Amino acid sequence: MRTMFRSLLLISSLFIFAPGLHAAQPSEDTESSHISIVPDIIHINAFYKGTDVAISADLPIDCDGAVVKIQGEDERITLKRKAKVYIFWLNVDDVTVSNAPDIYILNSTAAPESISAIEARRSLLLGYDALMEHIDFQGKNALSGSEFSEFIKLKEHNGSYQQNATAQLLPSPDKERNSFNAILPIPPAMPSGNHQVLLYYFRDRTLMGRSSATLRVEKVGLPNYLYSLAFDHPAFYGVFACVIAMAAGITMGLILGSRKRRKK
Amino acid sequence: MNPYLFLPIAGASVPMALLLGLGLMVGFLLGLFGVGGGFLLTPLLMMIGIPPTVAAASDANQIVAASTSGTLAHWRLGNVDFKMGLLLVAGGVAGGTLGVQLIKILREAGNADFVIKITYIIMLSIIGSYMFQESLRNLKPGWLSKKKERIAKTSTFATINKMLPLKIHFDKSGVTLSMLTVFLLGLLVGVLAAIMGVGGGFIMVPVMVYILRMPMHVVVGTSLFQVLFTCINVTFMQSYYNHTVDLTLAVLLLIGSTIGAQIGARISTYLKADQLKIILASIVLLVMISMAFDLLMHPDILLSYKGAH
Repeated sequence: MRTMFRSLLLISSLFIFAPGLHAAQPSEDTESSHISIVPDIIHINAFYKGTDVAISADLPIDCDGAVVKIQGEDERITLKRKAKVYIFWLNVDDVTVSNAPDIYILNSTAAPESISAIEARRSLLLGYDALMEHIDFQGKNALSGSEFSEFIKLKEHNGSYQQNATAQLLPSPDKERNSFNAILPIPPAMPSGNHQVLLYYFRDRTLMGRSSATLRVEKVGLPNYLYSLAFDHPAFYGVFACVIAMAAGITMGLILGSRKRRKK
Repeated sequence: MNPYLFLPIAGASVPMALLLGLGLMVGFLLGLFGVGGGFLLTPLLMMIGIPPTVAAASDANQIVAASTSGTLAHWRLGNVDFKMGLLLVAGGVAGGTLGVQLIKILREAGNADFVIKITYIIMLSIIGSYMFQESLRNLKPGWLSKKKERIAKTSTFATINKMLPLKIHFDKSGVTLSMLTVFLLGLLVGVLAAIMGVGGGFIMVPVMVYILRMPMHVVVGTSLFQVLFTCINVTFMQSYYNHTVDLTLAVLLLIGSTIGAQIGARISTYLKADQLKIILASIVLLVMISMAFDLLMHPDILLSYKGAH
């Protein structure tokens, strides 16, 4: 009976999650173009310092603007708000931020508001203006109006949020297609996992088509080992960190100490 | 070429030379004065993009290395009073636990941040200006008459100490004190260290010099011994509960700081006690001024991640 229940659960979950599997593929509701990502896998090793990902695609000749973005999962975080108390600037209370993507990197051929209509920007979350309507701020003194710009400054500080208009859309030599090229700077703070790179292209501010591809980010080598150890075995990691530090201190003390004795 | 190193827990990439240099500077201060450097290094790490909670926890981890190295160097020079150190550690651990609870109550009341910052500024200005004034006075001629006045002032502490039981002689420091006095001073420093989120070396050093009247070179070695235990406790707790110790960051800092601590310990034997005090007082006052400036100036960003000062 239990086995039958499990099988039913498995089959039903396949039906429920099947549409999600298709989401990673190019959408069929509008025209779609092949999108190329170089590199499509980023290995975060000990010497990783962020990298640039080159995006290219062949788009219809009649499109006049395009936007490419990487948008992470929405998260809920609590931040501290600073305010002036008498003469001092202090953290006065908490602001809870909901529906904020952990990563938001966008590059477009021109400012998003000049290449797409407001409805499309809102539904596809294109540009900081659309993001402002999507993110929710809650707190004792939130919604004074400045929270969003301060939040963007905070996120831009470590490269988690970026918005540029440096992408290029040029006609191919045969004038049959438009060649789209953009660079997305991937910060060191990029979370591991699969990230959807989404490309939208427009004609007369109307969505013509979209395309998507997957960018894989994974920690390898020492960073991966230490990260797993810190989160999966925190007690061992804590003892290990203390032992390493004490061993380094003793070794250095012995090396420098014996050198001094030899000089004597 | 300046290679970068990826810090997996901090999620940041930082030039290796910068971290080695910061470690060297903090280790040097640790070896020279017995001050952990937590009050100095954590804000510097935050400035280069390390999240505040990771900066504070990893800083504590590297101080374990630097204080091990420094304690070893001072132990060889005969500058560690283990008896005094262990009593201060016991008081410090009890005070730290008490301080953590106090912070919890203040956070619930909503004014913890103000209390932390004001405590920092008040403590740094009292310690810095007193040390600076005292050392300057000692370097001036006609110091003897002032010394007599000072001895008269400290008699209150001596009277209280005489009244307390469990007296013990500390051979290395050359003082006779009640075990309760030492424990209570350790407790007080532990409470302040927990409120301020630091190892407590920069409070412990003036307490040992001006209240316990220990010789400056024994003070430095004994303070390092106390800092070592405080930071082992912090490293383990932060790893276990908050996952905020970045071992890559700590190792790079500790390579610099263990070398710096040895250099600092050597140089400390060539400097006079008052010269050491004047340099430390100047650093403490500079940090205080920078913190006060930080509190008064409009911040660049009005939101911050939790855990930042």
